[in-house]
Amino acid sequence: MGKSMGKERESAQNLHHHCINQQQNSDVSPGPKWQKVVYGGMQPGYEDNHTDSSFLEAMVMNANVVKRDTWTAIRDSVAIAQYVCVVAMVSAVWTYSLNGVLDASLLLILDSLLLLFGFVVLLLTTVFQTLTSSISSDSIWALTVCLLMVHLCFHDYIDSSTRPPPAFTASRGTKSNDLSRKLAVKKPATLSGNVSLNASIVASVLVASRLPSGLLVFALMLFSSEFFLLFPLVTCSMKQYSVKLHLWFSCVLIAVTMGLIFPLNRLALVLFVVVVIFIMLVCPYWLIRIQEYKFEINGPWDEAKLCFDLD
Amino acid sequence: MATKNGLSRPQLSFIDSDRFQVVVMTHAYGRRCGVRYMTNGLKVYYVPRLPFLMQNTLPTLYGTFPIIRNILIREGITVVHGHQAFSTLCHEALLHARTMGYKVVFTDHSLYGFADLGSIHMNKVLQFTLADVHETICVSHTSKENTVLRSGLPPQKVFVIPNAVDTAMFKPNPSARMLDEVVIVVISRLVYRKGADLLVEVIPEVCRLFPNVRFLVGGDGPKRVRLEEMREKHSLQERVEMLGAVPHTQVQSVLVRGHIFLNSSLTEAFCIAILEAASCGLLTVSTRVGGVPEVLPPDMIVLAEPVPENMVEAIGRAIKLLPKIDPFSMHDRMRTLYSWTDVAKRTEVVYDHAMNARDEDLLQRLSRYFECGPWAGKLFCLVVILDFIIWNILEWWKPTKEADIAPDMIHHNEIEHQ
Repeated sequence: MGKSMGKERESAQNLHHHCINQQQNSDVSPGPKWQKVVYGGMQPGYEDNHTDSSFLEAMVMNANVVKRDTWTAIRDSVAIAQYVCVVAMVSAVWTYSLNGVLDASLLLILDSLLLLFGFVVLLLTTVFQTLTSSISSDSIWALTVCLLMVHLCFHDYIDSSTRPPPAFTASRGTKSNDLSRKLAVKKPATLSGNVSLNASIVASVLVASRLPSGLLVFALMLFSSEFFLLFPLVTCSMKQYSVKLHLWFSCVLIAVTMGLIFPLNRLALVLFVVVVIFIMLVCPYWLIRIQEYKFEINGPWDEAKLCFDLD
Repeated sequence: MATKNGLSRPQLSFIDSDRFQVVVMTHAYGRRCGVRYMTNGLKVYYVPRLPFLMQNTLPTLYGTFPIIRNILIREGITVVHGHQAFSTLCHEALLHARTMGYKVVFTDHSLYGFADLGSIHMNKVLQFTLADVHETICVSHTSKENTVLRSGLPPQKVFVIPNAVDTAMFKPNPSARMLDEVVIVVISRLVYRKGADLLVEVIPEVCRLFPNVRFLVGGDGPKRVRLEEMREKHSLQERVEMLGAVPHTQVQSVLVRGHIFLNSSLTEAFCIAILEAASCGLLTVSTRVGGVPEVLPPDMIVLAEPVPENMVEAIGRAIKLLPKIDPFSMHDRMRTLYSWTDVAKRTEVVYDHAMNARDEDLLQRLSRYFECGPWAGKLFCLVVILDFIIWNILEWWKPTKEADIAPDMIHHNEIEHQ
């Protein structure tokens, strides 16, 4: 894939040089200079397939490409790793509750903050507890893992990325830039964000349906909802307050999660570490590496962008 | 005798000369289906297909092969000329014609970007078709640059032949104009790409700055509501006349009522509307997009960036220029600048190029398709091989020898007259 993109770009660049060379060869032809116009019939001395040296002169390559550096990429990836931690941590808590290690009252103290929201969940606990009694535990676990993957994939990470200004700003694009900034401020609810949240809630319901006591179901549901729903808000504001705090907090979170997974399963721990390393080191490196294949073409054939608000 | 299919209509009547005879193939329009003869003797095949939305048809890839093959054989075709990258019939006809060994020419009328998913898909389809086309025609130099970038064709294979205007149909008539006011005419589909939103910003501002200006807006489309809202909001009912859709036969009578023609397109490969306006003696104000700057000499057009302030300023300049503009001298200049006869002659040169191209067997063609991309290349090859197999089946089922050859009707009539 990358190879072919590089090849394409090369060919576009060659095209330009090629045309210029061609022109130098055929410069011998006397008569008026060629003009980039189509009126007045065929231009004397030039065939209709004449390719002038000005061919593709107005082409601009990679005008809006954002320059990336490794450090920013890694810093941004921390937020994703952090969220993987959240999911892993919640899963670990689920497992502890299922194994009977975790006490319902302990869990309740953890999440006693959200009372109003909690009452709604309390009313539904009996329903959740018997919801999937006819389904085998294996299916429940498989489904939960799938749902958590969906949750991770579709989670809205937009808040966590730093947006540097484009390397080059077109003259007519100055106003539209303002517009895009405005749009970024009032963040719209995305479809993927909703899918992600729903997947996480369904996953918690599935796990809750396997728990022995109603109170534990309640506590666990509250715990999951708090983490999946409210935790992103906390981390986001934390990051806005201080990036350093955000990084330290992520490190602590990774350590805590590892500590929670360790007694459960060694293989799970190894998997977790591999995933974190992949997200925080391999992916940023990969992203920087493939930047050289970035190939964007702009030119007079582009549809003009309107620089004012429609409506 | 060479014939080809799917040429834009005005071009046809002129190309119909001693050397070339034209047969048109297009998809059926409503109940207009089958074979028809136009008033000038032009033969048109309306292939029965089902357009599903706004005259667009669903791609069938191989479904049209039997009927296209039949037409190509019956009419004794030598060159197939396809138009418009958005037409599925065009792509299919060119593919089948290449499979059958005909020489093919393609004309591209539109510009595409490279960023959005729709463009990427269309560019891949275009790359497939153009991988095996003998010559390509574009309507402007900007269009040529765009096509070369999209398809990876060598620039020498792409000819630039503009459209023209039937100047006899678009004559100025200053008596239709009001003396004490300036009328600005807009005729276009009222859609986003034609810059209808730009009009909504520009019209009230121009009306505020120039009290003697009136607008005539011809055309229909989804953005018409916005224009009407603007008219009510600024109480401009007296000064902005909305005509709705204007049939092509009445365009001239609308144009001659104005002094200035306003084109607000956001993208345009050529813009024939500007030619019609200039031929009627109107000064043009247009957005500087796509191929528009190539279309008219700088003293016949005022160009501006597609920004409301710049457009308003350009209209102001145009109003100042108006006293120097003589509609009849403008019309006479247009007659020297554009003619369909010239376009036809230049198109015939391209046909000659195509006809002189050397014949290639399937393997040579496949190697070109193969180079189109790591995945697409192989897919393209499969499509072409399958087409070749279907052609052989058709040859066995209905051999060319047994085909019913169409008689030359025009020739026949002439003999009768004598």
